[in-house]
Amino acid sequence: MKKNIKQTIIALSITALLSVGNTGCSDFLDQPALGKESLDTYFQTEEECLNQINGCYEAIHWNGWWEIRKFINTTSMCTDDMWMGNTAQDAGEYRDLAHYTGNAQTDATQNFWQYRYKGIFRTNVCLERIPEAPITDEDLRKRMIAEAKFLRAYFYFDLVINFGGVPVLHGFLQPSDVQGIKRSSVAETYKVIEDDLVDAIPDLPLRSEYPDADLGRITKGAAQALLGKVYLFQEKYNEAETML
Amino acid sequence: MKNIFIVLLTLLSFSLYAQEITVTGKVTSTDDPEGVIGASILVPGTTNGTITDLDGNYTLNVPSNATLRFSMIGYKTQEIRVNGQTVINVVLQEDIGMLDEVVVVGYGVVKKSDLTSSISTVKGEELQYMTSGNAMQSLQGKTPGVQVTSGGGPGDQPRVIIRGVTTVNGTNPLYVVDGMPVGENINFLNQNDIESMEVLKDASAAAIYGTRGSNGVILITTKKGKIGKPTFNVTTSVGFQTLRNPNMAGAAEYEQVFKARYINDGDTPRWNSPMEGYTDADGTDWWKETVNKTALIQNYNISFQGGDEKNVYSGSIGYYKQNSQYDYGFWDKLTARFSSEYKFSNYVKAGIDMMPKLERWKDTPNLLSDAMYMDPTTPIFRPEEEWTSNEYDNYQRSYNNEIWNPIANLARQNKGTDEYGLLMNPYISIEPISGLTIRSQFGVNARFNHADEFTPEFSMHAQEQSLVNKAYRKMNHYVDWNWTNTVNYMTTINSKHNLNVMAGYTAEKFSYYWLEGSRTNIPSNNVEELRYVSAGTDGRDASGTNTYNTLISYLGRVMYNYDNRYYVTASVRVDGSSKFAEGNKYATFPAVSAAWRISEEAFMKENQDVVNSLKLRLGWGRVGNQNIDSDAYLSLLTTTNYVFNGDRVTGTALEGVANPALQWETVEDYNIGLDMGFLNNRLNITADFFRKESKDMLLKKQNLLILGYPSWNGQLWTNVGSMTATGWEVAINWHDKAGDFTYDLGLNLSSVKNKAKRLVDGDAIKTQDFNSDQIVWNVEGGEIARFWGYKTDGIFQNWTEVYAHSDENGNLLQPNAQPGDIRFKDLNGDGVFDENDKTWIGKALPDLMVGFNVQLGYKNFDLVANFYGTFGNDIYNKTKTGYSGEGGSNVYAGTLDKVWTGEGTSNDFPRLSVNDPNMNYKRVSDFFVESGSYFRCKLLQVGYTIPRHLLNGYGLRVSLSAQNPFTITKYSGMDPERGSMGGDNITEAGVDGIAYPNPRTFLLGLNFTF
Repeated sequence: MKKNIKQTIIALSITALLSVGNTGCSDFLDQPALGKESLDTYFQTEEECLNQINGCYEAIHWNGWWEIRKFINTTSMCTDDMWMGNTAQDAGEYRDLAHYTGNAQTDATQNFWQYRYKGIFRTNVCLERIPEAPITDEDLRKRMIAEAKFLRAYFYFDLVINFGGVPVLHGFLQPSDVQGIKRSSVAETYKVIEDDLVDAIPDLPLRSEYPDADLGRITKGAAQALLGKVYLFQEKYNEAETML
Repeated sequence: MKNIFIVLLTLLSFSLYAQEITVTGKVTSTDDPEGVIGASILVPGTTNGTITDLDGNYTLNVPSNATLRFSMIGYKTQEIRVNGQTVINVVLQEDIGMLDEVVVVGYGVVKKSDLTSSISTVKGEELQYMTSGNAMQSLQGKTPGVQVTSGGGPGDQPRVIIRGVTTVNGTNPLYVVDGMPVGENINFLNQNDIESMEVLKDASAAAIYGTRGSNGVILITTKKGKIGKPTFNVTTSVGFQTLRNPNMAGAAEYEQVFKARYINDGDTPRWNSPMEGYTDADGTDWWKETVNKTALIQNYNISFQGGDEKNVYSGSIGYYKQNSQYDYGFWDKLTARFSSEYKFSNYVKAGIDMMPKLERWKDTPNLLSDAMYMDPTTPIFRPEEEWTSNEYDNYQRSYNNEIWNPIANLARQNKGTDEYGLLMNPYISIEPISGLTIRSQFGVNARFNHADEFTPEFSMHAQEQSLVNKAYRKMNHYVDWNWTNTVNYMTTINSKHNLNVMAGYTAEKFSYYWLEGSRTNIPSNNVEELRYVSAGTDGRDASGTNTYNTLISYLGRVMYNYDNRYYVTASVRVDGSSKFAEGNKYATFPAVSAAWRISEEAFMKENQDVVNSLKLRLGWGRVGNQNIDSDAYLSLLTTTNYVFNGDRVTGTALEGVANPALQWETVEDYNIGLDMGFLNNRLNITADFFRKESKDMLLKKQNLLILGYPSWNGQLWTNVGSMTATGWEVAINWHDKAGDFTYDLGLNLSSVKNKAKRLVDGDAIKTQDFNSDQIVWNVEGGEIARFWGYKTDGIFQNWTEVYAHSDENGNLLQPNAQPGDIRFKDLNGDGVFDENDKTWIGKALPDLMVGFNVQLGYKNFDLVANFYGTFGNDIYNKTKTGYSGEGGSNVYAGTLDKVWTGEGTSNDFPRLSVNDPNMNYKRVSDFFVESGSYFRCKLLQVGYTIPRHLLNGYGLRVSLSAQNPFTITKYSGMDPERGSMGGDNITEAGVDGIAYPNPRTFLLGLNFTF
């Protein structure tokens, strides 16, 4: 009799313990990051989509103390347009370019490559999410997609004229998705650029159609001009003439 | 007639009071023949009891057929039948049975003889001889396998590594105080409150702590009350600290060295001081001006404990303060503790431990390097005619180098923090039936602090100024709670099978709330009342958010032994954490250990006198580590800026890409150990051998740049690395007495080899920048923290030697070298001196760590000495640039005699040069590598206990101590112990860049009991 009571008490205690343990477990372990927005819950309103597009614009020149205007610096350093002064401190990555001693490992070249692709990443994120965002203004949606496509084309263009054929990425990819990816040929890269621009042109407004506050956003004219330039670089003079 | 009357009365009182009599007597012991105070005399099964007074006497009314139980901690309990005796004197026998001691394990206690894992115990008293702010500094050298390295500054936390390193993400062990995990810093704890400290070294012991046990666990039990009359203890310790003077050159030698550097390169010296031909008296001794000779350190503590059968209590109040060696900077803490346990009945008891504290510090600035290298020809103040109304402008800018005036820096220091905290641990324990204990404990650890900083506006020079002043405040609130519930059942079946089963559930939440704000442009620099954020008129800036982390765990453990000879313990812990994404939140940590008490076997019984205990232990377990940011598994956004129509427009973009597949790091380890006791436990030896391996170590892995991830080089946290730590430890203890002389000697030895088994894609982790290179490389397959650099081969004494150092075609290996420069070796013999000639030139982690502790007693005198040392480690002594005078820095005194000035003058130190074209001081080479082995006396204390009878039975001990009085080492830098710590991370260890060394401390202590 005593043993039964003992065992019952033990069993009851353990059950009590376990039941205490099972109350509200799963919610307790979900602690979202506070004060910061997360990608999972984003792209729900017009404003959020616009914010992301503005972020893509930042990638044209970047903003940090050493990244800013990097692309112009890098490409112009090798020409007569720019001269590397500053003899008091180390010129860092630009010295090799100015002295024509650079190669693929030079910091400036690496950073050009890395930052242009960071810009492409931003546009890819937008292009993946904006088409399904629950916004009502269809014209705005098309315009934003067109802006992103223009920027993506612009970034790829910068890459192809400096490096030749490059790997082309569309979409927000994981490292496993790009295993073994190869450089596309020059022609393939240009095709991608042209496709993006051709898609973008009809959806972009004219400069006069933009409100004043948006001065600086991509216009139909800008897209057409870039497409024309792309054709010229490929020596497709006929198409270029039409465009320009 | 009178006698008959008394007899009749006595008979009457017998019949009235059930034959109760008064028993008196004196209780003495083998080492306290004058009388033992506070020994307990109890009639078992009743609440009838008393304790002995100051002379060891007692009086108690008991039934004449009762039994009296005499007991006292540290002595064997005796039971004596009253049998009508009215005077019972007892001599208590000392209980040297260390085996019967009780050891705290995770979520329970176990007798030391029943332990199956590798756990070391250190009694609180052993930790109290040394005066320091952090109890871990006193632990140094007392337990094998625990490597404690301390920095000397006020509030500096020592680095504690238990059995080597198996991760790059934090090496601190988990501290648990009275069952409540308190994180990684025990600066708040008053050393005098510690009853005992248990170090859980292997995974079979630490696995019960799951995700935080991968670096070992340290269990701290604070003093509790005990039955008896309340006793008080007052301890004070006051003294001063001193730093070693590095002996820098005076103004005269500095001028010669400065000019020599230019002349040696064929250049004209650019000497900026107002005059030439300085003598030492004309100059400034910056070390003497900036660093104080002595700094005060003080520690006061009052504690008490007492209780009866129903309620035991104890408490303390303590104050500790350590000043820095500068005029600014200190750390103090006011701590209090109250602990009480109340026994409601035989089944239920409840208790609470409360530890409030107030901790304050004014940040100690880091000025040792500036004080050493500052130009001695520069006076502290600029000429008075140049003074302005802003006191911070009136200091002199260095004439000949870019170092900021350290005295001016010290005057501008204004940064401090106040922290209030409360650690509370209420619990209730129910024992419904014998052997079954249900315990629930809810701990809260709350800390609130605010950090204030004021940077004044000042202008000393175009390159030494700050044109805007700023007031800044950050408020941090931490509220952590932990709810632990356990059910414990102990039983013995058929008198041979002993079983102890435990099941538990815990939930924890860590909350961090913070707010920071600042403003600039406060109207006045010098008015103290205005040094607050509200006084600023510009630059309003504020941020703040909350962060939460949670943890849920299920634990279970079974301890079984057969006849106290064969033991098996198995435990498992399942942890769920909020730091990982869905699907990866939970992890399981099992552990198994076994032991065989060979000494209890029949065949060992004959030798009981010689080998009185022998136990073999085996253990295996898995523990985890979740030491990454809370939001590492989320992709978060940040704001961006662009300009449209000339206006700033913000946007958003991804700040980082998360890896949703992130999970814990796991460490798996094996342990085999042997515990031996000889000669009636006078000699005890413990030996362990272990191997730990980590898997899925969290590292930032670089990805293809084309992915365009926002982080640098496309890095993502990934579970990809692995490290191993293999080693052994031995602890030998001998204690005995010979007449009035008692002695206790302990020797601890340990050795660990740490290797990186797998890193990301085989890439090395390189740390500690040095002139566009890195000193410390951690490569796959190799030992952690080694130095990679060039090998030197003396100095070129003349041009013949320079030309001789060439390839077979006569091309110079070192085209920029001239006589007086260092010759570097062309190790691969390819005729070219380049990166391929680098090799391993030293390692930061030691081969052997030794701790030696002595405690001697003779009559009323006692002597305590602790020694600690490491052997086989190297230090990259960056401070050797102090012989180059580079950048116009000051040099060590005697540099002119040491450096090469002509053929045959030196083969160790290269010539002085301002351009250093041969890069003598700019390459990572073994020129900077020195042996970091050292053996240091950590504590030397002599104490005298004044005989009790002189003080009316009160106890008073007076002591004189010296901490770090001497060190035996070949290392030329300031402190080999501090030098070996390196940076924050173990992968950066071994580089000495001048950090606050361990000071020498001299103290007078008083310990008063009543």
